[in-house]
Amino acid sequence: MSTAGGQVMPTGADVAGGAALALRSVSRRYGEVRAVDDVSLAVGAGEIFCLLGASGSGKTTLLRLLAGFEVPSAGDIFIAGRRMNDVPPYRRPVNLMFQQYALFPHLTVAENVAYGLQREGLPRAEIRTRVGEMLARVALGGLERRLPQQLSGGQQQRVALARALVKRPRLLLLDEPLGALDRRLREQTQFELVNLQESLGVTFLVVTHDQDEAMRLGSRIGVMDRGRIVQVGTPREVYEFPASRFVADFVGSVNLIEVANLVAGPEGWRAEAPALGCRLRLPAAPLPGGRPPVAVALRPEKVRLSVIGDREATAGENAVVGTIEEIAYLGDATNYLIRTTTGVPLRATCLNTAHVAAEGLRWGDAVGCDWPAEALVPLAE
Amino acid sequence: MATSPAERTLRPLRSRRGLAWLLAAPLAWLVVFLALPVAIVFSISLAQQTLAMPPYTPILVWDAVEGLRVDVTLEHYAFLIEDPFYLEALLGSLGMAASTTLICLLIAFPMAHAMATAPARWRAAMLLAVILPFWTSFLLRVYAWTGLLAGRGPINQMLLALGLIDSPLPLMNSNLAVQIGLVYAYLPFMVLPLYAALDRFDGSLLEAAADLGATPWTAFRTVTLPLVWPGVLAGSALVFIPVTGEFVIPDLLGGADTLMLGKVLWEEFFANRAWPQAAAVAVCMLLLVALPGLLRAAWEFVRGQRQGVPAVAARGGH
Repeated sequence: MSTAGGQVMPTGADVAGGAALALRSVSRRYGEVRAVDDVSLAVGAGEIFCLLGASGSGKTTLLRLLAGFEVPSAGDIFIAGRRMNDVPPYRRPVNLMFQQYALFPHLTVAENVAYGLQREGLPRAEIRTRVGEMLARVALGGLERRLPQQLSGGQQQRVALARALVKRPRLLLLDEPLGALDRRLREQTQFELVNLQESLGVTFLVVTHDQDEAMRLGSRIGVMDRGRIVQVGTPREVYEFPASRFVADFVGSVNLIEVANLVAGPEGWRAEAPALGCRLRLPAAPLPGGRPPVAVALRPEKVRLSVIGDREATAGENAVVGTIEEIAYLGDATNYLIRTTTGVPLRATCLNTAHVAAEGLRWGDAVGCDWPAEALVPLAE
Repeated sequence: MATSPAERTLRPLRSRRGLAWLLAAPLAWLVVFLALPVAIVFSISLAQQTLAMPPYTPILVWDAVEGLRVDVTLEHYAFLIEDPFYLEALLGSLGMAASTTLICLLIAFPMAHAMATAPARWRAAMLLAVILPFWTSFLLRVYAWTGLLAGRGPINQMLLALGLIDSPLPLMNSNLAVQIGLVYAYLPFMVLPLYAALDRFDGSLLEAAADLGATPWTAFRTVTLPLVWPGVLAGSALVFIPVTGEFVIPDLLGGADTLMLGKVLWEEFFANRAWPQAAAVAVCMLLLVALPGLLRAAWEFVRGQRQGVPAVAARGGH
């Protein structure tokens, strides 16, 4: 499965069952609106795949297509090698953990978890054993007879997870699994979720609008925009090598710099950045296929700041000068907004590694900013 | 949160006197318009029948020799059991109430469901359409059915014109007419509580059920029905109880074979002037209708005591 952006058509082996999930040119249209537009994707067994997108990007529609609550307008959905297009939700080997959990308010915790097993017509003794095991696993032992509204948000989330996992699905769909939890609980729960996934070996497909959640949970991330998957890759690949301006901007904070007058040289490409009033040196192999980049992405944490004081300094190659306009101290890091001499802002982040910031940059200070060639990510679109 | 809005409004009532004053008004209402009339009817049911005005003897008699004497009889209750006529009327009423409740439930459930799932802009109009008949007098609406069901009425005319029948059907003055009238008149009382229950129902629960392997029917049985059950019970009670004592509809639309308690009661009172006998019928009818509710309240109270939580909380806050 390639790292370079865009769609990846599943192979014949993926469709035949090598992948937990394979989508082939799946679309879902509502009249003229394309909620999901020609999406192809293969998710391997045992993966945690995160679909990351803003609201309205089509990620929830895609999830509902997989769960069976929506029918694709075109394309094919394969789960564990079986075509699922016409299979109703209650016959699919997938389970969904709902965003608001959708726990049955009239049933106890144990009855909620047992619900899916009862539908399979399993013997009572087996249901009791499996429910007990699963509740112990999500640390809900002793709460079997509580009703959902008597539980905290975190406990409800674990009931929802247990209810979906106890069915031993081939694929578990999670809709914003941490979205309804407060911050402290999110970090703890996210580790539990990953541990549980590893020990059970179930494939997870997580839908989220929160890039933090996607980066922490996902073994791979698919970034969605306007119904399409615009990039698939590991969290590192998506962050360090965004395929487009959209992805660079959506995942993390970024400086997007337009480039002009590209010249291919022996050590890499050289270009001009008219907005910043400086020259750029780009890494050796800017883009696959040798296409010239239209812009470059520069992550704020890769910008180096230095106090220039009275020294006369000018913009050079991969270097600009400016004054500090805004400072946001975040504890572990500090974000700076630097107004460059051309008037264009540049964002920089410095880790506060020293106990007291040695440089002591202050509002209004004149600073020099520079970055290595490798920090610039060429963007084709 | 320090105090909920409910707690804040209730704070002045923490004093016992404030609470007593607040309860005084409904209590006075209940005494004057429920307890007192029931006590009067009950006392009449124990009195002797006589030819006078009012047509019964006083139950408390002042005697110069013996002092205060209580003159009561249970013969009217005994007669209710002796004469099978009353049992038939009772069974007729209960049967009619049961069939009306069931038919109303079958019609009202899809209606309420459609209303609850309709786009928001349609709901007010649909709700209005259900309530609209109340703007017209109940008596007039029932009376209108006598015209509709008449031998030369529009229903028979239409069936004749369509060639479905050769001669007009004898619709009026039959149990069928009574049944139609009852369902028509009481349908809104079933629709409204069902709508309220279905409106609160969270549709994502059905998706969760389907996701866990429940077919649509199983999801309805195991999720929808238990959650809207309070609405079903409320609607059924609102239909069953008044239909048991209904008088106007069987009187206007029913025939000689229509035997219902309300009609019997009316005839005993006004046609036969048998006030004590009619009072005995009324007391039995009241007991019959109120008994399930009283039993349920008692059961919930006992259960609440046993679990040490208020009965309302034990039901799960719905």
